[in-house]
Amino acid sequence: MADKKKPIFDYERCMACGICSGDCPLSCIAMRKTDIDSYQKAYPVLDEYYRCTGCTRCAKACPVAAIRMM
Amino acid sequence: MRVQVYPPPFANLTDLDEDGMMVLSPGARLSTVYRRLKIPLVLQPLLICHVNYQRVKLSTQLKDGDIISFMLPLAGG
Amino acid sequence: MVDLSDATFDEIKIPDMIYEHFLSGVGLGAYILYKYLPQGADPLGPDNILGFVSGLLTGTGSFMTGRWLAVCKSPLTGGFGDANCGGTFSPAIKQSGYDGIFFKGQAQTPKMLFIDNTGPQLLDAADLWGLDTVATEAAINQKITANKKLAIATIGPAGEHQSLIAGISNDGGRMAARSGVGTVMGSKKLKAVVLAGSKMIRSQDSEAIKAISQDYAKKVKASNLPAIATGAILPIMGKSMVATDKAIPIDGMLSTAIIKKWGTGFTNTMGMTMGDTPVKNWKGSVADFPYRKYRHLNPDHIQKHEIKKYHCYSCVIGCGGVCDISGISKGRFLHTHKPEYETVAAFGSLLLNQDRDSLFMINELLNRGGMDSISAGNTIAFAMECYEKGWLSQEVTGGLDLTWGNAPAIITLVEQMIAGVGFGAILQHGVKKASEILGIESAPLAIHAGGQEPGMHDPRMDPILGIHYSCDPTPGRHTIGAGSYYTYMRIWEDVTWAPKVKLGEDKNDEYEATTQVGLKSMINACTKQILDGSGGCFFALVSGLNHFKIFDYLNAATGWQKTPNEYMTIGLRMQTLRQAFNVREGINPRDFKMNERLSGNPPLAAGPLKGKHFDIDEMMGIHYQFMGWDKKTGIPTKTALEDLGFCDLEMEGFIHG
Repeated sequence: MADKKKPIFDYERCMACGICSGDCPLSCIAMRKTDIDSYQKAYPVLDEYYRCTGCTRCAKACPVAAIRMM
Repeated sequence: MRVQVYPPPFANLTDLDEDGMMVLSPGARLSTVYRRLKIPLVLQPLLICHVNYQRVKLSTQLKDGDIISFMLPLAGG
Repeated sequence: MVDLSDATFDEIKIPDMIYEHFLSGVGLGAYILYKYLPQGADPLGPDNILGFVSGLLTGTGSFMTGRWLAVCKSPLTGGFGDANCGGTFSPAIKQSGYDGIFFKGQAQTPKMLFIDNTGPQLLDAADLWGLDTVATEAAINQKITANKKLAIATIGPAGEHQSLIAGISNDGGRMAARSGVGTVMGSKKLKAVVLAGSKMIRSQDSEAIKAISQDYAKKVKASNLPAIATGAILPIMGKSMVATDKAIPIDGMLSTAIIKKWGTGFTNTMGMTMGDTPVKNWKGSVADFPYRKYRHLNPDHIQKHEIKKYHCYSCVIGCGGVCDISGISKGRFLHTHKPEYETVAAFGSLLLNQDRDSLFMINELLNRGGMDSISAGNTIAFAMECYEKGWLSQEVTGGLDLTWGNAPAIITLVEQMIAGVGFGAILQHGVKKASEILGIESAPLAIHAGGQEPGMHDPRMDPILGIHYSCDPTPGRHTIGAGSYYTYMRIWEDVTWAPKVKLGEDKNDEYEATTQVGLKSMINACTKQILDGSGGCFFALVSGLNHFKIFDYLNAATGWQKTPNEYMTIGLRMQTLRQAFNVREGINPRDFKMNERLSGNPPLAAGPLKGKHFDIDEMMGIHYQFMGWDKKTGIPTKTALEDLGFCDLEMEGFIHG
């Protein structure tokens, strides 16, 4: 059985806009990781690794192509 | 060449036309814009200035159509 | 359309043509309300319709389009009502499969609507009735589990008691607060709307949308303040803004750096030196609330409490925040949403209150209680001025000492207003009602436009604000338009007939009812409608339409190929429909004129706005004229209605001037 692909976030490109988190049909992505910039913006993390079905909606929705499915 | 300038409020505006455009000789640097706007030396480090929405050095050479913006706050909302 | 009286659901398919005429969001809301609400409906009765609408651009990959609106017939003004809000509720509406969710009728017992991928259900909410908005969300999350994180919009006790200034909250305190939308929700015994759908949102050309988004994001990412820039510079910036009467077009994109750092709080102190911030029930100035007092409201102090940034869906700026207030609330509340400028001013300078800690408490009380902070602050300011005049005995106030700046009394009064008890029972319905109860002499002190209290921005500094306070079908709102917003938008780069603001223009020109003022205010009103039809954020708009390319976004999302001029016509049609609704419901538009204290009658005696005044009647007239409405009455003319194509839309009952 092939492993499901999971989203990997490129935090250099990521704008912390929350679209990936809001679009995930199973709410697997939480806005959490804060140690990235001095503004303490919350960045996406894959909170629910095993729930993620690899549907790729997050990667497709990201306007700045900051998500790759691996 | 012409560049678009969004000046700080205390600048001298005589070198800008009514659309905020400034005429410069080709290859002029950002420091020339500061000089033409007569921005006091002591205030220069406090200003936030972007060329085409990127922070650049004062010695940067400008080109025709560049946008030079000085940061000012919005009112409202 | 959910009928709460008989618990039925009806899916209404809206033809594409309607979206092309009115967009989505507020336009869809106005269309549904005009079509389905019976003329003369009681705003607190079963015939009123309450709608939750998303925006045309929401969920399409565009940035800054995560806003939603609540629409209804307003019990506060008697006309069209809408309230704009951010958070995570907007995409959830579309993901539930609908552009808008509307409610008519009234439930017998408290209910909540739950929608997931299997469809809508009305669930019992009697055990939630009485809970505040934060507790309600927590309780619903305990009761209901779904595949997707729940998006919840709920009312608090204020809406349940049907205070006329109640709002609807989502995300633990982000409020759709104006027009009494929460009141209507409470009158329907609808406690919450809970969404858990995950349908896909499609757009025509998502690659084009992403390209625009990437461009916008790059610029915002580069706009940052250096570390040395502290809150201390803000009053100085404010002074420099008013040091000259010459208009200096600014680049709104760089201002996102300021919003990123402080959120709306940057205006707390900057507004004091500019004159933007009202003081002492709009009759004072910085002379009454000088630096040694307002320095407590320096947003740096507020930032110290911020533990995390908060932003709406699809926002790259992030003006909001979550603050830790366990220390200052004596453990009563752990967190609150960072107080917005509107709340800080309405309970700070407006009441001469310099107690910053009290502002956090009041913020959380109002968010949990589900009450509009702008209206509540204005109403308390009115009470304080009456108290100053000796018109309110301690008997009437229930022992409360309403001296200016008395923070503990203000907190108690807010709690009373939310619960609808004590002196708060008189103030809980806003300033117009409070003034009616207290007597006719108090009317000049009641600052409102058409029954709705104005936002914390002074028309004496920016007269076009006064036009929009007085002329918008939802009066008293500071987000419709202003001379400064017009300048920041740079709309003349898109709309060919929009006047360009030239460097060095005299700002004093905006105090006269000129053609320019008429055009600018007309464009403001139309653009706001386009924004609200798209689900767009006000801060994106004022960062400049040369950056926030809303027209390109709309074309890419829909496949339309409309020009900006054509979109302006759509905006005009949307605004005219809202005005036509008011006229049909018996509103005389001129009655919405704001309290003349706001137009400098009498003028302020001190501060940066000393002596400023303008003729609001003339200004209203020029706006009506450019909107295509009768200059004297503000009623849309027959020609205007025909030109905008209302005859072809099977909508009836238009009364024209």
